[in-house]
Amino acid sequence: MSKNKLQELNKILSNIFKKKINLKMNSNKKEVQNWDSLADINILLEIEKKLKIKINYNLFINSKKISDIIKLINK
Amino acid sequence: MFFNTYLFIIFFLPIFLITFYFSKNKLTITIFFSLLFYLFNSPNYFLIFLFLLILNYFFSLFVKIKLIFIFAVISNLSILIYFKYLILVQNFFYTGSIQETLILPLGISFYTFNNIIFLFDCKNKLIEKPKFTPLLFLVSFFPHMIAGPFIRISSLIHQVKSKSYYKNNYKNLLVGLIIFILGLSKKVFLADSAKLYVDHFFNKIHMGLDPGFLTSWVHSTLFLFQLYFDFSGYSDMAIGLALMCNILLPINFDSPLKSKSIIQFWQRWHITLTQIIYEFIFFPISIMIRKIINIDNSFLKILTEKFLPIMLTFLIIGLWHGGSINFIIFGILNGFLLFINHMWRDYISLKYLKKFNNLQIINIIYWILTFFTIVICFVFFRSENFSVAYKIISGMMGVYGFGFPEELSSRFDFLNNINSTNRVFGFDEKYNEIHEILLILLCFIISLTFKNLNSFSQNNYSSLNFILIFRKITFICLIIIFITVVVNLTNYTNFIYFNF
Repeated sequence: MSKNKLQELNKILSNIFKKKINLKMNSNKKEVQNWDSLADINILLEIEKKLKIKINYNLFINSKKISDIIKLINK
Repeated sequence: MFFNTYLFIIFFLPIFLITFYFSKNKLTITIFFSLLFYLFNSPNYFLIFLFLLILNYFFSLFVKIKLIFIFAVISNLSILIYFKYLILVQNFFYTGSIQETLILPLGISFYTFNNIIFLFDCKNKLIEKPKFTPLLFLVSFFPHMIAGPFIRISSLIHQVKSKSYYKNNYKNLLVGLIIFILGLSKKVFLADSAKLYVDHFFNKIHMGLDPGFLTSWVHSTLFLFQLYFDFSGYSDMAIGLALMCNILLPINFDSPLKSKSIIQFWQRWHITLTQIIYEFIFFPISIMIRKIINIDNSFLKILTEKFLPIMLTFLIIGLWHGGSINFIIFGILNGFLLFINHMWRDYISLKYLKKFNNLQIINIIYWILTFFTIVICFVFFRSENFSVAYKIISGMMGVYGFGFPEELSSRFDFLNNINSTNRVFGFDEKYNEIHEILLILLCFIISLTFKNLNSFSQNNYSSLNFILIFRKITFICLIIIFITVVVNLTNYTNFIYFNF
């Protein structure tokens, strides 16, 4: 389940940053170049749109690891 | 009784530390001394402070009900707006001029933000069961209660729950003391020395003097240094004091004056506030605008997705500092510059200048542009009113002459034609020219070359252990600095950010 979500997240991130992104569960946001405050907004909106879910933005901003974001997606 | 007073350093701090280190109930002791600290510094508003705390605790119990949550946030903001702006307006109608004669409840902007963040954290279930004691500790904790750094309640609870909080850690005490003394030195030696020249310069302009080109730049730059060393000095003192009682506060400044872009500057200046503004203002505004306005046109897309949220956020930052037109201009100007910076980075620098971005010369040009743009922005921050700021900015553009030193202009005739009569340094006969030149050089050297707390804080300041190895030398240096600072405390000045 989480593996699928991770794949989908990587797809979304690759689309946004226009390069191949292959993050792992224990990867950190900081590992992706240009993942800044403006990118945060694009990513959140894109996740909500593609996965048809609603994410709490306070929790999204405060998540540092990819596993934290996957947890939010799975909620 | 603030951090830079004899009363705090000679009485309050030692008594608190002795009680803290000899007591088992460290949390209660810290809360008791924190309330005492507030009562002593702002006795008239102590009850308001307590009332708001209790009120927010009750709100937190019902925060799951959306209507109560919205009411709670609006109530907090209304109280802040009343104290910060409405009383100023009432004063204006009563006396005919906006003068900040009213004493604001101490730290109201900071503790209101802390209360609101606490409510959000409860709503988002970052705190499982809201309890009164952690809230009381978060809001009243004396090292950070007046001017930050902001810390989330979850982080504070986590620290207080750990066993290490209750152990007497003498290494923390010593490292905290070192950080406190370094912060105090920044305030007393650099910020207060700069204040002497900055105040004199701005008063002269207020009285109608036309400033020359060089003197305008020198004193505006000196103000930026004054503000930086004043506020970062305060933050260091707060971090040091908190560490002495086993609490790690986040760093608030990461050498912002070394920044090579406005984006970088705002990522490094007053970091904890920037993070909160981003999370609670910029992010929701951006999401809301995106959901309401959906446009395909790329120009309009940039306007709605970047320009509008950035400008609105910085307008709020400006207003947070105060209701005067200067703060509004300060906010708008910074927002506009940040937007330009984003455009430059995304559409020019990353696309066409990628090859050149690593060149040393390009970085130096970026730094010069960033530094002096920030100097201009902060003229609005410091000026009493718009006309003073306008005059100084005109002076910076050379409208009132260039103000070369007399020795130089008397040798070269052509300089006389564009010269103004102002002195560049010292500004007035009674102020020491050499002292001001040395001060500005020292400020440049320290802010551009020295390491900051961030480089030590990554690993709970354990990298500062090297200081502890040279115990004797450290001890002697510390005592010398401490005595010199304490002797200089006779000219007490307030911290700039206590006004906000």
